Amino acid sequence: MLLDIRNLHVSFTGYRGHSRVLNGVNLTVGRGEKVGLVGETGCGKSLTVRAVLGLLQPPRARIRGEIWFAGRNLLALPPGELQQIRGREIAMIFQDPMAALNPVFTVGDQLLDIIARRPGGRPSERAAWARAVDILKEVALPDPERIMRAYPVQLSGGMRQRVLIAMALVNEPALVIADEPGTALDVTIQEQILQVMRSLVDAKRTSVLLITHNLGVVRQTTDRVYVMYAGSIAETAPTADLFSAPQHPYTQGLLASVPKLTGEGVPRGIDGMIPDYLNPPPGCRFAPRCQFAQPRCQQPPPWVRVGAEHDVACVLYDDGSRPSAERAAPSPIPLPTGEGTDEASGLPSNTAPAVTRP
Amino acid sequence: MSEPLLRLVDVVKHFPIRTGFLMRQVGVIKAVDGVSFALHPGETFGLVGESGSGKTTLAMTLLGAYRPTAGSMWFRGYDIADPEVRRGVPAIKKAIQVVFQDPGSSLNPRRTVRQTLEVPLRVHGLAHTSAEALRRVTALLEMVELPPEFMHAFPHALSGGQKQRVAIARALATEPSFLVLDEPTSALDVSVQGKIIALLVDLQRRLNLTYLFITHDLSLMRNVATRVAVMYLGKLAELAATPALFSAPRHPYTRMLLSAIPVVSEEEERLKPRWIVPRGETPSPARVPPGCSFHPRCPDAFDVCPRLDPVAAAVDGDHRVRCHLYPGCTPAEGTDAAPARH
Repeated sequence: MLLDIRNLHVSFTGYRGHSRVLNGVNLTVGRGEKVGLVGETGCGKSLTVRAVLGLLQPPRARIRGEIWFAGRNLLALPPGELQQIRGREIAMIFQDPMAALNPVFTVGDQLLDIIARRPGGRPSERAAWARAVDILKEVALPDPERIMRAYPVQLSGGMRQRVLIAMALVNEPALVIADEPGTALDVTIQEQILQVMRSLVDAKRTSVLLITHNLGVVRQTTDRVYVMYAGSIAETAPTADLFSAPQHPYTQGLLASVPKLTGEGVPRGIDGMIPDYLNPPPGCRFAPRCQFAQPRCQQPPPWVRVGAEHDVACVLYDDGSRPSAERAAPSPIPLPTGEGTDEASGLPSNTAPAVTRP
Repeated sequence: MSEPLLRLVDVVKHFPIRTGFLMRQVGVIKAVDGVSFALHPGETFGLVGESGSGKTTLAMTLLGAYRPTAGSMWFRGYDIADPEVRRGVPAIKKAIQVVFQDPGSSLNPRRTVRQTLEVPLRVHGLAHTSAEALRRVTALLEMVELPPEFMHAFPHALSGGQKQRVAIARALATEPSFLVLDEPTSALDVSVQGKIIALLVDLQRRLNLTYLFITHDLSLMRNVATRVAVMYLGKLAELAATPALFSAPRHPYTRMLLSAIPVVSEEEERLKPRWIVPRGETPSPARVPPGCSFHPRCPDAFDVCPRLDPVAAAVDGDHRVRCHLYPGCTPAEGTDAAPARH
C-alpha cells in the first residue's frame, strides 16, 4: 500500500464544545491505483486530505490514528521531513485554479519553482525550462512557450486547470490528491481535463486520490471508491461494483438521488440532515436518516465484507443476509405534463421494506 | 397551443467595451445575439449552455436588470423590453420573480427570515398592517414547507436547502405567474436537490407558475423541463421538447454536450449520443468567430460554416435547430455573408 490511513480520528474544540468530525477513517491507496472518495458537503472528505498533508494544527485539531505513506507514519514525522514529502512525493490538485495559482507570477515562474524542488537536486536552468515545456505539452496545452510567459489571468479556466495538473505532475509524485478537479468548469471542458489527467497518471503509474461529490466523475475516473458519511467510511468497493450493487443504505440513497438521463423524474433525495458533530448520534451516524434503522444501530456499525474488496459498515450485513440489490428507491417526482397530474402519484413511497436474500 | 405567456423576438444584448481616458468604444461583447422563443403558461422552459453562453444575461434582461439593445419581449400584451412600460405597469414587476443560485449570498445576512419576506410585501403594498404582514409571512413559510418559527432565524442558522426555501418564499411573496430559476439547486447536495425540485414542481402545479429553468446540469434538465433550449455564444443552437432533444439531438454542439455528461449507470451511458471528443473551449463573446460561431469546435464543420451564419429552421415539428447540416438553415449566399465585424 502506498497510502494507508488507519483509524483516523480528528476532533476540534470550539466555543460550543468538542466536535468529533472524523470518526475512525480507514482508507488505502495502492501503487498505480485511482481511488475515489465521495461524500456530500461537510462529510469530512477534505478534512481527511488536510490530515494527510499535515495541514491541521495540532493544538486546535486533535488527531488520533496513523497515516502511513510509503512506509512512514506521516503523523509521527517531524515537520521538516513532512515538508520534503509534500509537493514531491504527494502532490495536490485544487478545485479552483485561480485561487491556487499566484496571480503576480507567470506560469513559467511557478512551474520552475516546483522543478527546482525536484528530488535529486536542482536541474540547470535550461533543463528546467525544457522540462516545464514538456509537461505543458503533456497536458495538451497549445503553444507551451507562450504559456510559460503568461500570467494566470491571461489563461482560460480550462487552461489554468491544465497548468495545475502540470504543476502537480511535473516532479512525478507517487501520489496525487485531486480535490474536485474541474468541477468549477463546464462539462465539455471538465471531460477534457479528466481525460488528460487519466492518461497522464496511467502513463506514469501515479496513484490518485480523487475527492469529489460528483458520482458520475468518480465512475468514469477511478478503480475503487470510498463513500464517506459524517466522518466515517460507509462503504468501499471496486467502482463498477459500487455503482451496480451499492449495499450501504446511504450509498443507495445517494445514488438514487442523482437525476438520471432516463428521465423518470427527479428523485426525492434523502430525508433529514447530516448530524451535528458536537453531538453525533451514538453508533451508526446515518441511523437517524436510515429507513432500515434498528436498535442495534445504537452500537458502532460492524465492518462487513460482502464481496471481493467490497466492505460495508452496516448491521444489515453482519448476519450474512443483505437487503436486495434492488434499491428501495423512493418514487421519483412525476414530470409536470400539463394535463392535470394526479396528486396521489407524487407521494414518496420510501417505506418499502428491505427484502432479504440468503 | 395556448397563447404564450412570454414571447421573445430577436432579443439582443450587447455590451460595449470601452477603454482609455475618453472611454472610446473599442469592441462589443455580444452576450445575447438574437434570441427568439415563446413560453407557454404552466411549462418549465429549460435553458442550458456553458459559461459565457449568455443564459444569465438573457435572464437578467428578462428581469429588467438590463435594457435589451434590440428586440422585444412580449408579456401579457406589453413589450417589457421598454423600461418605460415596466415602470408604468407595476403588475409586471410583481408577476416576474427570480430565484438565484446561491442562497448564501442572495439573502441579506443581517435580516431575519421575516424581515426578508416582508420586503417584497412592503414594496408592492401587499400588506398594510404588521398583523397582515405576519399572516402572509407565515403563509409563505408554510408554502415552502418551513415551520413558522423559522421567521425569527437569520440565514446563517439555516442549512443550504432551508435558505433556498426562504429564497423561493421571497420570490412567491408577490404572487408571481412567472419565475426565473437561475441554477436553483447547483449549490446544494444531491440528496437535498431532490427536495427543492419537488417543492418547485409542487408549487408550479398549485399556483400555475411558469418557469424559466437555467442549469448546466443536463441530467437534471432532462427531468424538470418540458422544453429545452441550448444556447451557445448568445444564440440558440437548438430548441426542442425535452424527450426529443435528449433522444435525437440534432445540433453537433448539443451532441457534444450530451456525450460529455458524467452519468452513474450503464443504462444512462447507452442513452448518450455517440462519443464526441470535446474540442477547445467556448471563445469569448467579445471575439465571436465568423459564420457559425461553433465551427472552430465542430466535428462536422464544412466549407460553408466559417462563411455563413445559419438561421433557425424547424426540422421535425417543433424541433428547431440552427446548423448548416439541416435543410432550411443556410441563408441564400450573399444576404448575410459578411462575417460579424465590429
